[in-house]
Amino acid sequence: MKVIDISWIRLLIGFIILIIPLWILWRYRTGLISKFAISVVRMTVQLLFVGYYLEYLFKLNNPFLNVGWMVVMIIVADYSTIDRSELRIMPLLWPIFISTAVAMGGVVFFVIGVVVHPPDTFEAQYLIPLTGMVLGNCLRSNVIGMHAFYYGVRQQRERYEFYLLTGATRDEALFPFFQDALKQVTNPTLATMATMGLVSLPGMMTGQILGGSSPLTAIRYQIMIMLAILTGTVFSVYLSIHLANRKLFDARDNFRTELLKD
Amino acid sequence: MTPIVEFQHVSLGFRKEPVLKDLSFLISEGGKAVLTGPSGVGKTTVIRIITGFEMPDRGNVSVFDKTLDQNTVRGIRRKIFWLPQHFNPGNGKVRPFLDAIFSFQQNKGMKPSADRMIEVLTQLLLPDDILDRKMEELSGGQLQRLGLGVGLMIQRPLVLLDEPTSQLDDKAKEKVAEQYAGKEDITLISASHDPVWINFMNRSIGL
Repeated sequence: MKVIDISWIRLLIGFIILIIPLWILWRYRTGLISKFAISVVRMTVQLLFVGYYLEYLFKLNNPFLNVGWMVVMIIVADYSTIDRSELRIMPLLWPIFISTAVAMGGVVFFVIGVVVHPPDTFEAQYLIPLTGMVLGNCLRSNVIGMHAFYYGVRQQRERYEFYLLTGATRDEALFPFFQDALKQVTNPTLATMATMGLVSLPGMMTGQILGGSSPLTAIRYQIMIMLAILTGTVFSVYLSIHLANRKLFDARDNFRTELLKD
Repeated sequence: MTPIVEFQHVSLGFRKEPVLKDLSFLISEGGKAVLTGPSGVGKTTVIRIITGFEMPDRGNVSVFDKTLDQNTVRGIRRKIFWLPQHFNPGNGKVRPFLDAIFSFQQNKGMKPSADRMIEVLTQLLLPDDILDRKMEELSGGQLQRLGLGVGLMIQRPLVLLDEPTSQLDDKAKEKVAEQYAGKEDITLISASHDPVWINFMNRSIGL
């Protein structure tokens, strides 16, 4: 099956449909017009940049460049994760980088090496998009998980301290907080998986079909990516919290609230 | 007599405000001491120093004859039961909260049966169905008695109670005081301005 490429002219004409939401948002004086314009422009410019950059990267298909780009993606995700979890960035950069690299990297290389199994493991066509998808989900999950965990400890600090003084080790005292964070991270993914295919076609699958794959090939990739996302997100939250705990608790097991943003 | 807690010239300030100034005292095994003084004078701070949650700016603290520092704090905590003021253990039912405590390695094998737990808690005038109640629905006084009940269930040689009767009526106060002051094998350090409680103690340290 061939894919019809979208010409730049036709894409530009496509922007015309924005008149509809623009009018509605203006009519109701939502105050969102400038944000609207900025977001659309930013998205377009950023994707243009990424598109040209990836075309070039795919043409070169150099394994070192490909892995290098993965590392850049992890670093950017690293900053964003810690910032959006509302924690202090500097002390946590290294632990979160390691946990994301191990969890996401492990999952992606397993998927590519064992499941997809292309002749060249570092093939950009597989490495970059898969990294992007798993990493994006790990980013979101780490934020949810770390925020739930650390702000949970802060809010129920007395419970944590009480457990420490009724015989718990630090890990034992943190167990219920871990439970809560893991549930908050995993439940949405499980819910998505449970209704996948029933309610709507997932984005990756849609993209593949539009790009020329048969539906049966697309669903195999979709199943695999969901397994990768489920594994990567739970694993990276687990590692992130364990590694970050070394910084967020002091030598006396006291919680270092000064590492929370507010 | 074995010294259990010793403060030597301890000073501590919060943001340039001095809270404790050159405080020294020694409490021996079996003592039932109460820290007295107006609000804000530092009673809770003394207790939080013994639990290792606060560190003095100056001075030395020994607990069970060991200097309290980051190497000894975990071992020392294992021998202490502590009840904070306005005890608030968070949300959820009482039963899983108690079960969690008895799931810790240190407490393995010490878990009272459910009947025994109910016995201890009802002696503190808590309702029969206390195990199935949600902690967020309990009153301050009930939470305080729940905390005190936990202290009676786990055996620790040093007990720290911060305002243990602040939310109790006179009847409950006497029950609690009898239970704790009557234990000869524990050393008790409390903070209180309740004359009923103070009456049951045998040593008073004014801050």
